[in-house]
Amino acid sequence: MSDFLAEVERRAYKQALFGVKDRHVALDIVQDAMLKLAENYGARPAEELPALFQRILQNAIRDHYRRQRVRAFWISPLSALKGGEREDDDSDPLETLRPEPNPKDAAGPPAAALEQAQTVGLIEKALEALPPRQRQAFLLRYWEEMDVAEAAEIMGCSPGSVKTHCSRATHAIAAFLKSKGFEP
Amino acid sequence: MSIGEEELAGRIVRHLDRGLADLDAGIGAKLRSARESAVERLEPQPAWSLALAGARGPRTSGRQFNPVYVFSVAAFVLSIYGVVLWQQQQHIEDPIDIDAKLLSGDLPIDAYLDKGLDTWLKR
Repeated sequence: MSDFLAEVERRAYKQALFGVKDRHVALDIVQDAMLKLAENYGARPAEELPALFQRILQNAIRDHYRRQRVRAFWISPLSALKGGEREDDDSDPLETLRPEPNPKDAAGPPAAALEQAQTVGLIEKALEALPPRQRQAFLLRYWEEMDVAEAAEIMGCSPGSVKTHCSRATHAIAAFLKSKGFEP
Repeated sequence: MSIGEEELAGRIVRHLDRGLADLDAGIGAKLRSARESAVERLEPQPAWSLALAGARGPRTSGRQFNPVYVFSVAAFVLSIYGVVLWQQQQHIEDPIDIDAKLLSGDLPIDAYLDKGLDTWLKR
């Protein structure tokens, strides 16, 4: 269990952070997910742990969205009318991101490390801006290396939907990177 | 797009993996602390459970060998068995009581009102 958690904890934190956009909340979510996994599924075989942990983590992130929506409804009627971040919203928020300065345009030779850091920063920004379902599908399928059926089970949708979300997410991130002058 | 979708996704994910190394040290420490807390919450495995490990096929439920669970199931089965035994005993004792009362002359008044009593007495 300890080895498994050590292997996934950083990715889990990033996944939560992409979703909730708050470091403290993301940490709380990962901590709760770890505790729930240990308390409820500690005796399960190691090969079942990744799917169980992802299910707990994704549910926690989804619960946060729900609580946030309820809070927004009561705090600001205007935000409720706008709808906030919708899980099923497939619009492309990447278009609304402000352009970043391109390191290739900057004076002097761009350091590889700097370019790498900026590429990661842009990818993370693109992931944060993706619709939640697209982000979830992409991260489960490609970052957590789950097969389509596993990802579909965790997301509670069909394998076809997972494929569609993954495809849209991949192309959106790639297009965003290209628009900033980066090649993925 | 010149490269395939899977390859594209793979490249994006490799960037993300490299980014994990630059995670803030404070966040890393908090994650480690959270992991240690979670591991402390793991239920200790009883010795007999370890002895049986691998000897009883795939495990389908975490509670099937829990001593509390086994004890409560056994208590339930025993109590059902006790109720059935008691009822059977009642069935046996009822006719004996009636016979004894008839023989001792302590016949309930309802027995005289029973239409079948005369027939039974003539036998």
